[in-house]
Amino acid sequence: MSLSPPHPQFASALVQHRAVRLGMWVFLATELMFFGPLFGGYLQGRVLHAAAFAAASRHTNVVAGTLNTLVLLTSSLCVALAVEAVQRRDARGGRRGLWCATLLGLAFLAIKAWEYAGDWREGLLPGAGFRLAGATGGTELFYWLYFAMTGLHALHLTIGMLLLAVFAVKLRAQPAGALGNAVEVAGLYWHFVDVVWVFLYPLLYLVGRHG
Amino acid sequence: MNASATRRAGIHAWLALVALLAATTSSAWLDLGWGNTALNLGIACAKAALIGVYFMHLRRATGAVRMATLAALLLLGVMGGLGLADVLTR
Repeated sequence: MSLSPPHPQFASALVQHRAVRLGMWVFLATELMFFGPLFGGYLQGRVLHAAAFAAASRHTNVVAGTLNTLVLLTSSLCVALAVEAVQRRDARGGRRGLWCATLLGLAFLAIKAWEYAGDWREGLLPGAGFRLAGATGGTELFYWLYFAMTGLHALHLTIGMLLLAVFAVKLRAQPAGALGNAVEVAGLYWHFVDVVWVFLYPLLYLVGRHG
Repeated sequence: MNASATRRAGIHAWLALVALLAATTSSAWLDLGWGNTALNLGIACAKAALIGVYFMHLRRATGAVRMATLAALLLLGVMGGLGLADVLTR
């Protein structure tokens, strides 16, 4: 555990470390409330239009979804190793982990862009151009949720990548000990974005595959 | 836990996550009815727990952090439950 000198409002470095972590967890709780209504909407749609959701989910690109899950799980390992390195005051190891995770985030976005392009060509974007064979209201609702949920997730991922890249650059100029708390909570944010995807993946890509 | 043990635990957690991903993906092609959804969500919860414990260090978390996390999950459950109460009782 690396504990740099605390800011004046904290009694000790340990108290500051606890406050910083609690602050990030409370923020993540509000983020859960941000994603929550979309999951709630999905739950209702799935109950009301079970067959349409299964038919719509069969048209998602399961190869891209699975590959992206693997990419994100691996990026989380990189971030965990980076946080551990920074806490050992190993700035080089920390930078390496953060850059690896940032590059994996870029790979995720590239795969997602390729996937969105395919969805666009197939006419899966809800609206006047929506043309899935045998489409009912339920299939269009599924794709509305698909784009809203993956889009909001991609936005969070982009913010996470910027955070990781900023700290990777800062680790060059500042000692690892001074950045321990910051890198740790940036890591918490990254893992949260990973957990959101862990739930999105089966709900969007794996429904009705056997049909 | 010393540094190399923490690293090893992280890599083991990643291996378990990849194994769970393989399990959830391959199970999608078996027809288990609503069992598919239950299995998929069960595996997703197991993955989230692995990430929470080994990458986010929830085991070392203070009481305040645990309370913030549990309160968020509980409120999400209340919202989801009330939302479902509507569509399931129509």
